[in-house]
Amino acid sequence: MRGTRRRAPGGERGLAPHWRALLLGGAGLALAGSMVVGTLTAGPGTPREPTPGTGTTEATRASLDEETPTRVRERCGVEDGENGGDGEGFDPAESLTPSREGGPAVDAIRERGSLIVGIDQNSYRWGYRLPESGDIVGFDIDLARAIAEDLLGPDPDIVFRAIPTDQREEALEDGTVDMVVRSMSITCERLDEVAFSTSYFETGQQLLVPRDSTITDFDESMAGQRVCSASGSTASRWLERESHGAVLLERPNHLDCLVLIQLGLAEALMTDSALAAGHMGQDPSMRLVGPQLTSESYGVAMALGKDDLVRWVNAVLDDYRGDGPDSPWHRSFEEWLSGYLPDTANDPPEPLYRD
Amino acid sequence: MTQPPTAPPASPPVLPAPRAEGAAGSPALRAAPPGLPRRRGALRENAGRLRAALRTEPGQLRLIGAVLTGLLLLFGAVTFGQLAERAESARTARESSQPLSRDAASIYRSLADANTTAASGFLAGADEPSEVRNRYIRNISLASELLVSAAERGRGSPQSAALIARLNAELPRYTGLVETARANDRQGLPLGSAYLRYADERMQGTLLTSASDLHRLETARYRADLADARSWPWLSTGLGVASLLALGWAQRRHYLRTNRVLNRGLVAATTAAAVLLLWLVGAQAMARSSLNEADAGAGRALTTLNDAWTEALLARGAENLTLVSRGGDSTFEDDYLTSMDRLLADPDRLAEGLLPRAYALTGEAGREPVGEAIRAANEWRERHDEARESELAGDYDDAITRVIGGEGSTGESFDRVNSELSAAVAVQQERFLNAAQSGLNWLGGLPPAAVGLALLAAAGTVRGVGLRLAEYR
Repeated sequence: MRGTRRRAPGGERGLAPHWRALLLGGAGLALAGSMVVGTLTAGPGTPREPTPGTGTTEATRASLDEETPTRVRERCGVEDGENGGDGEGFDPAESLTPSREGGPAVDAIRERGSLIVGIDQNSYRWGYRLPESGDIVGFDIDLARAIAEDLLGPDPDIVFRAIPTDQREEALEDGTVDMVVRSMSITCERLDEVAFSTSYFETGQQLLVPRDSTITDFDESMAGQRVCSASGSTASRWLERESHGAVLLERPNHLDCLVLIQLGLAEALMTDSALAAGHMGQDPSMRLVGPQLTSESYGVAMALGKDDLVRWVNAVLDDYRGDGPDSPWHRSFEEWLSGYLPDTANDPPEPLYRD
Repeated sequence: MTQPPTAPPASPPVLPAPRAEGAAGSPALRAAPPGLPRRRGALRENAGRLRAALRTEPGQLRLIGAVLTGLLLLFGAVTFGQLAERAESARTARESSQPLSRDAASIYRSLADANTTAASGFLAGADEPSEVRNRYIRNISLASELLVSAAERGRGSPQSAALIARLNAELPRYTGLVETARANDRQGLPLGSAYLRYADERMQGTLLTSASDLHRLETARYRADLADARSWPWLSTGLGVASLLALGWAQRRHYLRTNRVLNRGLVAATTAAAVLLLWLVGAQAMARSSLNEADAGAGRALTTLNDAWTEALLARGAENLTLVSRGGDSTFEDDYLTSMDRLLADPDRLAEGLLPRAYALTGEAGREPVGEAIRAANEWRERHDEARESELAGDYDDAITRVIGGEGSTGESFDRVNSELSAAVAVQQERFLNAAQSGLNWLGGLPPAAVGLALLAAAGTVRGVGLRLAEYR
């Protein structure tokens, strides 16, 4: 008779990205350090300075050496250790200018008559399955439908394909899916493997704790507490770099961390505030504490080289974000996310273009 | 009879002289040197008298009679002891330790089945059929009942007791997690599936490991019992051979001294001793072959079948959890493939699969259900591939129907594998019990017979030697 077969909690999975985590950590430190040289306007004591709408070159600078780290935004094309001051490199959220001209990628989808979208079925309020009806719904799903309607006309044929986090890039590369709309942050590293649309949501890493927690911020109040994060996530890298004396736990999925907290096996979890909204939706006794540590943008991911599709999606996003509070973006936000996120997240981000 | 012929009632005549000499160095004797020569003289005198008595024929006859009777009684007593011990081991194996091992396997299976069923019920959500729910409840109750009885019966071993205590403590935690998963899922929260994954992790990591350890422990114990029952009783065999040789020598001596061929008493004793020795050798040989069949035949088939059954349950659990995790995790599909591979193996190295191996190990009578199980498992594998295709194509609902639906689903194939293996295990269990019983039958009659025959042989010796002694009066 055979005994266990599955990995120990947070076992091997946490080891592989170790080197990557260290490298990224080093890069982030260098970046943050250089930023603080450039600007000292945002002092150490300043509360977080959320910059909805812009969140780009003017994004907050801070140093990890400071007591309260404020939002750090990644910049691409800056070498490790290089003094990448203001304006060096480029923002990862920059994409191609919108156009509905079309091309081979768009034609292929139209010929097929259906759009295959990689999604998450487990992310409450973003992409999840209603058990009664079996329908997949959420903020990401609304956007995927809007794109499909624009490409294929009303009542389009959409195939939703659930893909694990670590297979998103691969699924695009081998053509299993046309695009991934799955709360995917645009990062410099991912830009090497996939193409992103413009940003459709701004978020950042934050701590989520139960109502009665003694943790007040990403600081010494975490000492001795068990803090959970998803293996290989940005959150886990931050925690590894700066644990503030916390005991770190890693689980395959950020939702597994919520289970641990509810069972009293962890005191806090770290993820981005957008996914945290889903957690608070499932457990109203959870709350966000402290500032957002990073500034990240969600984008629709497509395979590298499908520029016509990227431009088309950017055009859809332009309309989707709209101008006023009555845009599809706002309506979807009202339906799925309003009330779970800080007020600063109430508006769509401004698109950035690199050409 | 055993008292030496010419011994004076005072000091024991068998006490050898060197012992008295050795004692001379002790402080007590050194404190009283005057007494020493006198005492040594008495011992020497007694030994001398004994030697003198042994030089006469009646003295020698008395000694021979005493030795022969002692040897025969010892032969009987040792045979009784050794064979009773072996019969007891065989009885323990058949009636107590093997059933404990079987129960431990049942505990494992009901836990694994509960885990699998919980996942099936979860996938069905609000449409969970009542038979799925009932099957889950039945499995959990069966596991708790078996744990209670195992705790009672396995009290002797602290290792088993620790494992059973752990299982008892973990089981309610597990069921709590499953109910939380169910409640969250009914609310439409993906958290439910995270709870079910966590419950599965507890099941795999704690409950099933402990149950598997318990099974291994109990299996090792009953196999040790069978090995004890099979071990050859060398001491009684040796004593039997020695008794026969001694009797033979005594009769030859009798023949040489008297020219009379037969001494009825000694002949009767020889016959009784020979019967006992033959019985001992024959019964032990037959019992060994039966117990070998129980251990290596039915026992090995049972172990392999249990392993296969376990693997089928694990494969089914992984298959269900692939869908529960809703594409969020591909490790479950890998687990399914691993388990299926263990169960059936690839076509080119078919013999390595647990089911084909079990097929080879089961006797003619028990072969049919195993063959059926292999067919059903192959069908399951094909159906799973189709279901997996649907899932990958994004048709989640179709995948669910193909996995937990009725006719044509992988669930149907799995249920068939499950019931065929259950039948196959029952056949092998029967085969085991029969073989162990036949071993027990061979061993069981011998101990009382050993006592009777040894007493008969001893009485014969006494009678035979007594008749010869009477001629000197």
